[in-house]
Amino acid sequence: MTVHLAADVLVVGAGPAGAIAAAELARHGLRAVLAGQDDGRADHDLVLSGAALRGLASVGALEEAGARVVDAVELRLGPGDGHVLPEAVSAVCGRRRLLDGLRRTAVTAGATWLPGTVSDPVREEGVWHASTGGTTVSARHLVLATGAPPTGTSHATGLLCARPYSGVDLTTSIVLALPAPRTIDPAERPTCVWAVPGGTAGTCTIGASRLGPADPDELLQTALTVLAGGDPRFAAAVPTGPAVTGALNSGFSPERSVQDGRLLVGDAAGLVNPFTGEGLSYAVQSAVLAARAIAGHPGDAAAAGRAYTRRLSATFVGYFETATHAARRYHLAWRVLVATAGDERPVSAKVRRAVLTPEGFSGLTAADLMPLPAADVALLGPFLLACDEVAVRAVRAEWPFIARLLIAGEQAPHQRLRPAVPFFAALLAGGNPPDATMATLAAAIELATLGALAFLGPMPSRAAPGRRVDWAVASTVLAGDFLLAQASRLVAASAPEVSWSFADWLGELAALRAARIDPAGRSRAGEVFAALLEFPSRIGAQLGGASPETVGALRSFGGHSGHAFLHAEEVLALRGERTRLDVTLPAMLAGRLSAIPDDLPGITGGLLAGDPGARSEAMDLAATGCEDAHRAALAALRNVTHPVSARILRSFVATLCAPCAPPSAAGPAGTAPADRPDPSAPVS
Amino acid sequence: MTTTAPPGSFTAGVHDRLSRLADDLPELVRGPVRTLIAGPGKFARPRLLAACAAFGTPDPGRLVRLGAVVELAHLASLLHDDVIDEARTRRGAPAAHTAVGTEQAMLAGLACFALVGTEAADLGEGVAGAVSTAVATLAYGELLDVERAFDTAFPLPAYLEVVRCKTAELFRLCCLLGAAEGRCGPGETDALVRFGAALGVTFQILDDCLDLSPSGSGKPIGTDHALGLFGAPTLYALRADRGGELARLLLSPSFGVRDLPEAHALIKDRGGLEAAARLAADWHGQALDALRGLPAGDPRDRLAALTTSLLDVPS
Ligand SMILES: Cc1cc2nc3c(=O)[nH]c(=O)nc-3n(C[C@H](O)[C@H](O)[C@H](O)COP(=O)(O)OP(=O)(O)OC[C@H]3O[C@@H](n4cnc5c(N)ncnc54)[C@H](O)[C@@H]3O)c2cc1C
Repeated sequence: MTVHLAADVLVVGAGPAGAIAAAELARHGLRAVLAGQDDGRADHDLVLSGAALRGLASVGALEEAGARVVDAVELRLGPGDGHVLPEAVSAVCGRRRLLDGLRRTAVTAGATWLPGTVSDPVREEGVWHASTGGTTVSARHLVLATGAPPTGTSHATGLLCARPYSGVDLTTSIVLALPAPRTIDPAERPTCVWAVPGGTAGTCTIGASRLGPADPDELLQTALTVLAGGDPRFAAAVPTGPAVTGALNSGFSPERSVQDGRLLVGDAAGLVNPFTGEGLSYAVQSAVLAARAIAGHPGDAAAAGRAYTRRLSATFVGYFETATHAARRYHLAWRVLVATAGDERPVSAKVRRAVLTPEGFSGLTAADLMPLPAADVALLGPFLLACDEVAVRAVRAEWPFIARLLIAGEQAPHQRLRPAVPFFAALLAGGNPPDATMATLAAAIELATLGALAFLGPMPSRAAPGRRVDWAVASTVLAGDFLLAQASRLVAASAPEVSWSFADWLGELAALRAARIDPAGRSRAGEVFAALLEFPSRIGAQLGGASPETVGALRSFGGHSGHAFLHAEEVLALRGERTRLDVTLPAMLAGRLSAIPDDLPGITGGLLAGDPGARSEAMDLAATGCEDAHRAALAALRNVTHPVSARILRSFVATLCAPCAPPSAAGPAGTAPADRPDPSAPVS
Repeated sequence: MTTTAPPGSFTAGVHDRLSRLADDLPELVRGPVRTLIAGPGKFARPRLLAACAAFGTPDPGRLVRLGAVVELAHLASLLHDDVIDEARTRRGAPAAHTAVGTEQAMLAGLACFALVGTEAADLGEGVAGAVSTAVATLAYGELLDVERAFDTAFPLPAYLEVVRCKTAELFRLCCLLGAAEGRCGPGETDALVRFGAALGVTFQILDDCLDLSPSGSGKPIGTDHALGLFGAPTLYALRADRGGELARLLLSPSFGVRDLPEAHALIKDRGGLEAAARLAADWHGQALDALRGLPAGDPRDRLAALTTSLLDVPS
């Protein structure tokens, strides 16, 4: 006897992506059927990245996963020693336990769970039909969460393996290793390797991935060789269980994620990092996006598909969106990562994060979110989303790894510290709501800021001589030129009247930095940063039609914010915390970024590390500098009469300066209570 | 190599303008730019621009400024290329990064690109738009060229893409700006732009052939091969390199100028030089076709003569 189920959505495949999609759909009040067959793989441990943990928590499924938190991620790029990736939260969980938990979550939310293989769904008159076991299902929407297809796009397909071992002394950290290329031949493909501590002492799971054809045994053997090389913890590793293998599909592009009305999520959409094999955070996030897109258009599958594509393109950049140059750009990324492994310049650290981890950040940002009233967010949010869209579109096809610097599953992009915020507020200061076309100029400013950081940060040291490309230096120049050129192009196309000022700004930045690194040293460290933030404020004010006094006030605000930004960097670096630019104190000093040596001549990283007196003196200096700049920025705002503009800018500079506020203060320094809305207030 | 232009001539005007622009750069980024300007240069790009503008009646003052913009864009990319390639010399003098250090050279290049931007903006919105688009293509070409280093299997279509972006784009820009300045109609502009792009590709293919044997042009040979940047003759030869002998030689860690004669022989033996010459002839033909689409007369004859002199390798 066949049973028939009429549903709103059929989700095929009950892995992490499918289960979460079904749970979210049910929570939106839709009738969701989750149908899936287990793939019969042996159980094994999985790494949960910080983004995966946040994703699971956001859908209320973290408890169910039974995750064990791991303190640190050790990154080993190339032959050198590993280093700990700052503030990388991770955890480990068993796949079986995770799957059971997620399916329970879906059922608890109200989805119907049907175990078994699903026949190929067919669509008749706008309704999908499929059967599994003795049940037929009909639904308007179809979500495919069927995992990586064994044969995908050739340039983006490979193999993932994992195997349990014992005799390993790995307890408190996850190791992620990317070995150096053996040859200068660009056809060589990297093997990426990771190890995670097991549930009992002395055990671990070792995983490996490689694009292109690969043999699981050889892959795992390579993995062990890579790990054991120079790391005694793995010297005595012996396998204790079967190897688990699966296809790797990194061929994501937003357009390919909706196929004839089917919404692809997770591995089926090719959302896997080819360097790390990480796919869970993407599975969670894409499932949530698909569920929201469908919930927004319950009666219209085509509209839901369009909404999903749009949300995906605003959230993720794939590694291989265009096949033509994919292999060479992948090879470039690998060589640059390895060549800049020990490099603590901001740009290198940012690139490492963007390429290797699923969490987002951009330009001048870390995790800080600006507190803003919901009404202001409603105004700012769409502008910044449009800005991101333009910026990403300008670079994603040609250089996806760079586009990942702009968005990568970012949280609350509209509340981040970024140059587009003062630009927007300055536009508003003239009294008129900013024209949407100004988002293009905002994108240009953000791309240029990122490009400028490549040129204005300290330089990488030259690679050892030999017949090779000096990838660290080459990539700095290439990325800087590429970003600045794209930015200039956008300016000329969208706001030609600004072309001159824009180019002049780039020239000013070059001159300021050149003066800063000149041995005669006549320029203050903060001036480069002041110029970086002065421009968006000035140009925004001018374009928004602000009065000359307001333009002057906003210029001054931008300049002081730049100084405040630098001092806040120093405070964070002195405390040994992750800075917004991801730069360490020694790197700041060596690169002549810091203002501390201007006032404490002869100061060195060693001195600051070893001498508590010098350290506290430097800390006082940086904190006072930050407070002074903050106060001056706020004073400048007295001449900005538009209330929303002034409020956004106050919140911006307060968040910039938050690291310098005494830890006891309840909120960001200098924020009047009325400006401090509930940060947990819902945002659009 | 050096063309000592008669005083008052167009190239002398461009040279003057360049010197004046460089003098206005902030002190610390000025040096490397000045050195480059002082060195011997053929002013191929400004001359091409002027020859295209001659199809109309350009304003001489603006023409000189436009010529300086395209030359400056070329110099800016040379500064950055030399940082990437670690070139020792440029135009007979020590390369900027060896003289002032990598970071200052990089910043000088940035300042130079910025100067291109302000000058272009000063010359009008159309100029700013065309120049910024070309510079963006150039930057992408730079990326394509670096990431293919040591790729002995680099396909010809991909090679042509690099050439189009990295070399031909500036030639194309010169023709576009020249046509605009001469107020040429859409038909003429289109023909000039096609001509410029094809000329640029031809120019680069012939330049690639020069890397293999001394030509009297004074350019050091073997540099591109040492950097793993294989040009048309080599890429063609590699496709016929069944035993892998040429690829092994080219990828050898110790490959240097003294291996060039052997490389040359292998490339020639595998038909690389011949195939590259055919490719160059093909693109040259396309350039001439475009030229034939332009009205006969003095401007066309002079553009044809300039083409010959630009492609006449040893000049
Ligand atoms: C060995 C290995 C180790 C990994 N380690 C990690 C790690 O440590 N960290 C990490 O983040 N990621 C890891 N990954 C990647 C991660 O497992 C995936 O990204 C994630 O599981 C994707 O979830 P998904 O739901 O999209 O697809 P899957 O988990 O593949 O689920 C798809 C499901 O659909 C089912 N299905 C397919 N077709 C049908 C059909 N017609 N009818 C019914 N059911 C069907 C399959 O049987 C399967 O159960 C690893 C992958 C492998 C193979």
